[in-house]
Amino acid sequence: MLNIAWHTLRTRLVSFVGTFLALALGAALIAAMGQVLATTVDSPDRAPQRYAATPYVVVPDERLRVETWQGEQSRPLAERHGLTAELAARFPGAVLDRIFPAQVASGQGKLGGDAVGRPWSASRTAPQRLVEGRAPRTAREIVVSTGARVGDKVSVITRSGTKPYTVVGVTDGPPTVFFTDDQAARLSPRIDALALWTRPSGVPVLTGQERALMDPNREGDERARDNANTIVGIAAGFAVFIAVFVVSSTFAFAVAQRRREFALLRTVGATRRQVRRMVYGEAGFVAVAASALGALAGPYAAGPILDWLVGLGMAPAWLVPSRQTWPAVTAFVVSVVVALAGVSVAARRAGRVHPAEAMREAAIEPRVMTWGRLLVGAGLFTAALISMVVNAVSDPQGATNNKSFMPILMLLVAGVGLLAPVVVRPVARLLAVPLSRLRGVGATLVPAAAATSVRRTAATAAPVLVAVGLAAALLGAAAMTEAAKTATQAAPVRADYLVLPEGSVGLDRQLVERLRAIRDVEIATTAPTSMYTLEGKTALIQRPTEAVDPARLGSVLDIPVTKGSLAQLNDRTIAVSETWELELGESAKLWRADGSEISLKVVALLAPNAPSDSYVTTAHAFSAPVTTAYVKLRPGASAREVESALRRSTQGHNARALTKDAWVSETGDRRGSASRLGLLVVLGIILAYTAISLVNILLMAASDRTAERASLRLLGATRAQVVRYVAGEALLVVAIGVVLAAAVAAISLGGLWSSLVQIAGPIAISVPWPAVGAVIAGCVALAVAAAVAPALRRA
Amino acid sequence: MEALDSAVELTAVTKHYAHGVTALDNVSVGFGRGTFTAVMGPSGSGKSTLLQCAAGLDKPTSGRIMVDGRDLTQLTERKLTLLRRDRVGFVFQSFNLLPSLTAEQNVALPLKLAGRRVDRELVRQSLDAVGLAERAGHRPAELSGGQQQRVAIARALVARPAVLFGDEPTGALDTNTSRDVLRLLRSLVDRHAQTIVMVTHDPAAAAYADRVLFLADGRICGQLLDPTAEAVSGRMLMLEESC
Repeated sequence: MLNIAWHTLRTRLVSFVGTFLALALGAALIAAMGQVLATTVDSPDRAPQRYAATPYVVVPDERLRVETWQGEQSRPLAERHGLTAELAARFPGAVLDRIFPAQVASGQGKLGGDAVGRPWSASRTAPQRLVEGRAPRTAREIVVSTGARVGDKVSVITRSGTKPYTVVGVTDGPPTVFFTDDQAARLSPRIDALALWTRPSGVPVLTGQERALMDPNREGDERARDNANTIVGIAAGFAVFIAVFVVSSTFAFAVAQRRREFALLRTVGATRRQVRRMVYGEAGFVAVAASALGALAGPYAAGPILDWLVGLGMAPAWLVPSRQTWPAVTAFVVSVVVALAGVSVAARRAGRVHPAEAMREAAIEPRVMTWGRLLVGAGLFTAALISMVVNAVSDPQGATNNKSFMPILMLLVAGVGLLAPVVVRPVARLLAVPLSRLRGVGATLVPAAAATSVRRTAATAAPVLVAVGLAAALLGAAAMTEAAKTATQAAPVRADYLVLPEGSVGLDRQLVERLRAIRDVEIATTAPTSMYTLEGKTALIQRPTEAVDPARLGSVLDIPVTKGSLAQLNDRTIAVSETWELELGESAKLWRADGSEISLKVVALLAPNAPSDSYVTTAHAFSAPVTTAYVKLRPGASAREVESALRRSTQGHNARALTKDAWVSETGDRRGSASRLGLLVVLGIILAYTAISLVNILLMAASDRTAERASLRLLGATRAQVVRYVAGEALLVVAIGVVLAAAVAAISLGGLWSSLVQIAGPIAISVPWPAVGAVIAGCVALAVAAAVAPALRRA
Repeated sequence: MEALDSAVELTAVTKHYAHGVTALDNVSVGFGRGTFTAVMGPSGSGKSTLLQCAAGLDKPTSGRIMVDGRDLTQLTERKLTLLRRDRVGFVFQSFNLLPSLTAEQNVALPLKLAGRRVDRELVRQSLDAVGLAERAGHRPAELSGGQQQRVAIARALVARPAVLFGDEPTGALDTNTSRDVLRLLRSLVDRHAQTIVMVTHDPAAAAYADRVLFLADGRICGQLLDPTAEAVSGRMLMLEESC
């Protein structure tokens, strides 16, 4: 049978090339995304930076260790103690390194926000060499890496406040302020590390790549890697989904195109099984060849995709492209399985083709909407609706999470895609109403053609459904989630102003004191630190907490609680989110940031829209920097005077005061642009693939209809009329796809909205019209071009 | 008695379609071996349904259909296909050749489907029988309408079927080409005792048959032996007026 299939190939080259392309591209997409995913997972860490020139580093082993019945659990301590002086004394040749936030005050030289202060002797560890001037000799002299010149008089901000220094030297390397060793010890008594050039004995030591553990960018690197991993993971998930969707519909369509051929084979004596085997054999051949090609070529696209992500700032530049083979293997296997699964329904259908069909002149489509298709489509659709309702009712917080939103969206798209044939006819008729006002033959032909060949129309509308539906739903969801987050964040804030730091130092003590001295205002500060809990008696979890002054907090923040009251917050109590699974009034065993065990009584359970996970008093803050000061005007206070007082206080402290409104819009913008960028990456990949499949399937459909166009021409239609006719039909198909997409977007966004409303109160359902409009316009342009091009050639 | 001599035998065959259309109403008729029968009737008289049921392409609602001594209505779909493959040949109005295969490949198709070793000599003979031996390597697009139909006939005959069904086999051909194809069919009956059942609306075509069967409203309403074109036209006129 296969050689019959092989012989008949030449007459349906377009359809063959179409399925081949759809599959090869799908496999390539999966392989490429897999490769990028592998890269984000197993790219080696950056080589050691801070101790690049130091072979041995001794660091304190500071982890909180807790015995559980399942063994020891440990987490790194948020609050470090440093090495003891006794240990340091054992190694006279070592550099005593201290690393602490220090910044040159802005306006007097721009140092990076994450600059650190270190003793001058530690400049050898990297090394950072003097390019100008000399080493610091007195407590008032410093060397900076960039941004200031020798002889400059600058203020340097540390946790304790600002002090004037003279710059005596400039080095290369990362943003650093070098003090004399003695001054550094005064500013930060804690010894963070010992840098050694000979192997020490009797003490754990970091060598080789381990030294990277102490690098300043380590956490940032991990975060960047995680972010890239998340984005690429989501994109890869969608890539698989779309590949399945497009490949199965393309294969089914290609088989449906050949009903007459199958009928003919049946009349000359092919059994159902032979027809089925032929379809499988052919699909198998295409599947293996196309998947192999795609899986081999895909990884070559990983590099450019990675570069693109790096260019967008969505992935760190130091990732080394992975050489793993599993993405290609996975892509190959997935594609072959998808192709054969996609063709299995079509093959059964082909086997059932009635031989008498060969006798009929016109290809009359059998019922497209089979029970099976209806059942699966309705099943997926209902599953999506049910999980949406369940989420909205039981876990509104989780419902807004991408991890639960995106699978529901995929279910919806697949369900609606399968149910599409049901709505093709009514929608075509509905859209025909405005068309019928037009003069000419198109008015009757266009909707009639779309309604007669439901399968073709449904198959062509599928990529439009995916592109427009996902664009509208994903972008709309992002915009709504952002709006809700911003609303959640802004809602509890009663303060009129916020004072925020511009670097890692936070708000230094001097600044906080100066703020407190401003008259006619209430000031409250928050300092983020950590608490450790043992969940389920086995899992040690580090949880974020805010150290606050309970007496002042109420006037600036109106924190929503479901039970209890923040008024009872004191040094012996804690307010926690419901997710901690603690009871009100319970005495909870906890560990503080420095690892000390403490028992705190739960006095309030926070609502899901509370700005923080938990609150404790400043007694548990240790050295955590103050990151926000809330400022509330007392009744009768002069806003102008307070504003100028705030400006004066923050001067020279690398901090700024802004109004609540300015803060809300600023944070919303910043967060919005980051997550939107990630979404655009996902969407970009989706759209590129669906665009190709749209063109692909339209060309396949057009090849089917050369005869129809020829007979139109014979009937006296001008070339222009034929072109208008096919263009009109393409437009109608896009319109049907858009209607389906609108349904998907409306349902998914409606579900999301019902969850968000519970968390954040009333928010608007927002659809990013310009972006969605652009996607629709793109579909229209591609569809019309792909439909008209063959008509022009052969009309 | 007649059943033994018949290649195809329909007994009390009724066919209802959905929407309550009765295409065949209790039809009983036999087609003797080595005979050439034309089935005629106005549009919608059920002649195509009769052909499709007799050929096992469609299942009757009730009744019995014997082809080459086997009851089609008792066969599974698979057995039915195998029977069609081995014992039944078809010729359609629209030739229905696979456009990408050569004449020779088209003719060999049923043998390939049957999983038999393709006997090139047999294929050549079939093509020779329809006078197209020298065009074996041509594709359908390179052949005229009459030649294409002759390839289709060769294909239908290659498995040596008990009966050859034709559904308006000359419907798409001009008068001269039609005559060639009909002469070919006639000679198959005369020289090889091939059984042929042909649906047509053309009295001139029907005149080549041994017998013309007239159908109206799903019932047989008469027959004509050793027909002439004039006699057939007359009967058809009467039929159409009575309807």
